[in-house]
Parts: sequence; structure tokens; C-alpha cells
Amino acid sequence: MAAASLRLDLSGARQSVLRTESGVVDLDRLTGIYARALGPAVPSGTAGEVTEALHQWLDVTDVPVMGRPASMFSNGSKPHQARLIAAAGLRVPTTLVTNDPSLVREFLAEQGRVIFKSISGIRSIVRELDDDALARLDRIRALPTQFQGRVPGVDVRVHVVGERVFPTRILSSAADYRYAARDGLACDLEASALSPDVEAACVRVAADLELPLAGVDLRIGEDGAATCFEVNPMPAFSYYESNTGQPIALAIAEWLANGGCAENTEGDPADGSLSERSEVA
Amino acid sequence: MPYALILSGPDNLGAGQVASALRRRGTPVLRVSGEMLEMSRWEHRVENGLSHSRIHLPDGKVLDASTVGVVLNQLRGPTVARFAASPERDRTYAMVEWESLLLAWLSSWGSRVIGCPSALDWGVGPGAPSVPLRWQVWARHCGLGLARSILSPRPASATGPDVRSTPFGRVESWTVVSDYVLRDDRVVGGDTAAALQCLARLAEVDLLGITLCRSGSGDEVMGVDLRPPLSPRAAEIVAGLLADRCAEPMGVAS
Repeated sequence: MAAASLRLDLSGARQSVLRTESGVVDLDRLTGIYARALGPAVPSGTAGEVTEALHQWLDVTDVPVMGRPASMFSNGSKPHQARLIAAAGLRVPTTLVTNDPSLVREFLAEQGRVIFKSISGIRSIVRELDDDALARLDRIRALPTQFQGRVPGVDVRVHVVGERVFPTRILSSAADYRYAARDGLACDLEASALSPDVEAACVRVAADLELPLAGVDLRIGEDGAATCFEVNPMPAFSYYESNTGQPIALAIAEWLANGGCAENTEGDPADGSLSERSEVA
Repeated sequence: MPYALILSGPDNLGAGQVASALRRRGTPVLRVSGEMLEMSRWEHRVENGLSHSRIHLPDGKVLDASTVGVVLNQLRGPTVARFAASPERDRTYAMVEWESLLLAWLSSWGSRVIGCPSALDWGVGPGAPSVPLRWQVWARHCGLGLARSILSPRPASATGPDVRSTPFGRVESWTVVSDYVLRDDRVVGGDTAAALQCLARLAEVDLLGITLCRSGSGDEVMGVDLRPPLSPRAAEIVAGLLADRCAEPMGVAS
């Protein structure tokens, strides 16, 4: 974003323009935007101001956006998001967030096997509450920690793109397959399929969370029941695509090129769409 | 009768006035600071998709669905006082984890909490350098002028509750409490009230602090605060709102 300038047209004339070293982007005439607001920290100075303004614009423009910054909010608290996921019709794990070691021991006795992880969206390695972890349990007195009953079954990452779903089955014995290699365990990915009701629930939860692109983390039990751990608002889909050949990127490109099938393009001000002009340079 | 729970720092005068007004109405009140919350024993559960919480405060009181009827949240975030001497990375982690737990807890109360954290908190409050674009768009829709630029710095006086003249124009602070619009403890009607109520409705918030810059070119929103300092009159109205909701039948956990 070095040497960039940004003109945001809020007047309805649709003349917002982003100028960078690599060219000029007529923002209001885009058919869709894929925003992945990760990477280096927002720079200072003009580049930082432009980046910040662009992020704000992504939340209010009526151009269809995959990855509006405000839609990341629910993933900032896993137990908060779990309630929203359940409301959309997916089962969620039995969860205890506490700083009381005695409650954790009771929970372990009830659940049989328990995992623990961060409460927030900060990435943490999911670990089983084993003897080593129990020996350190007093540490939670300083900061509440999230514990969940271990759900048996097979992990399935479902990428939802608009109303299309791409389930990927993950075969690994690791508690957190993302870190299987670190634990010396295998992790194999293969394209899979879901029952129609689970597929519909995945599309519904993504829509409810206002995520045209979502990574829904499921575990499918032997009885076919699906438990949802999390809905990732900014999924790293390329890892799954490169291992399975599932055309997720193509589906995203089609959604962007087609103007987003589920987006409101009427410019209802109540949805925060643009109506005036502002400039950053 | 369940408590009206007020989450605020001990030096929050407006929160103290809300507490007094609630007590006068016969509603039991419990004031809890962020530091007390972080020293408490927490139990937040999600079972069959429903949330249940039980918090044992250091003084032995318990906060749960049977003891708390309504919540006014005036906290701007966790204190992480226990991590004051910790490395920056640990302190930041603790801050984010507490924010996440407080969100999970408060959001499970639904309409019984005034001041629940949300995505609308981003970029607003007394320290914010500008008004987020979303608020500017809503302001425009409600008939209020747009700030000159989303990056225009607010005048320093814009954070204060008083009214004064600045190079930008005349800066005034307003508070919207549900259907009331207050300025300097007076309930104000007219076009400005309608516009500010419109803004609060679009944001779907019960309580909103707004700083307007009034000049020849019209009113511009210069600042937004979702947990504004409360004047005595605003505190009285907030107390009425809380008392009404506290008296409503308690629903199941959400």
C-alpha cells in the first residue's frame, strides 16, 4: 500500500478510486472484492491511513465483499460464536470456560476426555487434558481457559462459498490436525460429502454470520451427527484445495465475478452503504 | 428480586447515579468493577447450544441467571491488573482472552444488557481519532452532516461533555437513551433529537453518546461513544430503562 491514495465517493456517484504504484482501481465498479486483512501490521503514515480507510470502506460498500472486517467479529470469542452456531442449527461441543481447577476435574469426570484451547480467536494448539496438563492445572487460576468435551469422529473442514459447499475429510489421530506434523503424526485430506441437512446447516450458519466465504470445522460422529467447533471467517482454503483438487478458488472467483449471489446491492443506508464523499491521500 | 448489575470503575460518577436512582425505585443494585470481575471465580458453560454462567465474586456474591436481572456495562475493556508485571505478549494474550469471555458472557444476556461489546465498538470512544465511516454513513442517512474527512482529527474538546466553540464550529455532546435525547441534562426535541434517535436505531443500541460539531454548514457527527459518561438526568433515564427490564419475566438461558 506504499505511495497510495484513496478517494471514497459517498455521494452515490460511484467514483471511489484507489491509486497505488501498480495502478488505479475503480472501486465502485468492481463486481466483487476478496479481502484477506492479514499480513504485516497496518503501516504508519499515509499508507496506514489509506489501509484503515479502505478497511472501513469494505464494511459499508455495496460492492459484494468476501471478508468484511465487521464479519470477523463473531470469531473473536469462541463461546460467543458457539451460541450463534447452535442457533443456526448445528450441534456445538459441551464447553466449560473457567479459572477453577476443581470444576475442570469435575468436567473431566463427566466428559471422559476433554480438550482445551484459547477462548479468543488467537490461534492456539488444541491439546488434550492429559496427566501432564492436569499437573499444571492450577495455572488457570490466573486466566480462565476453555475446555470442551472431546467429540469422537472424523474432522471435516467445510468451505462454504455463497451457497456452494466443499467438504474436506481430514484423517489424522492428532487432537489438532493443523499441528499433526509437529507431533510426528500423519494428516491426510480427501474430498468428501455431507448429508443434505448438514450441508444446509453449513450454508445457513455462514449466511447468519454474514460470511460469503467461511471455513466450517465439523466433526462427524459414527452416527453421522455433525458437531461444529468453529466457523472461520477467513479460511486458508488453498491448503485444502492443493491437497484435494476441490475447486474452491474457482468458486470464489465465480462468486466475485458474478457480483455475489447473496449480497444486497440496493444500497440500503440502514445497511451502512455509501452516500457521500471522502478523500484520503 | 434480582440485582441490576452495573459494571463500571469505582470512579464512574454516572454509574453511581444510576445505582442511586435504581435503589430509589426499589431495585437492588450490585456494582462490580472490571478488576473485581477478573478476581472472581468464573464458570461459563455452553450446553446443548445454550449458555449458562455463574460468577463467584471475591466477596462471596454470585452472579447468575437467578441473581441478575439486567446489566449496564460501562467497562471499556479488561484491566488485566494481574498481568501488570507480565511480558507484553502475555498481557496482550490475557487482554484478548478476557475480552472474549466478557463478550460470551454479556452477549448471552441478550436485550437484558445495555452496552454489550460489538463490532460497532471498533474505532469509537473517547480516544478515537475519527468517526468510523459506518457511523458517518448512518449519520448522513439520518440527516446529519458528514465530517469533513474520515481522517480529520477531532478537536480535543470533542471528548468533553461541555459545549464550546472550536475552529471547526460549536461542539456539543448529546446522549441518546432509548427514545430520549439529552443535552446538558435537558431533554431536547426537534430535528436534532429525531436525527440522533434515528442514528441510535440504525445502530440498534439503547445508549449512545454523540459529539456534534455545529456550524453554518450544519451538524456533523464528530465523535461516537457506546458507553458515554452519564449526566444526572441521563442516569435517571437509564435507571428507568434498567428497572423496567429487570422487572420483566426472566427467560431461559440463551
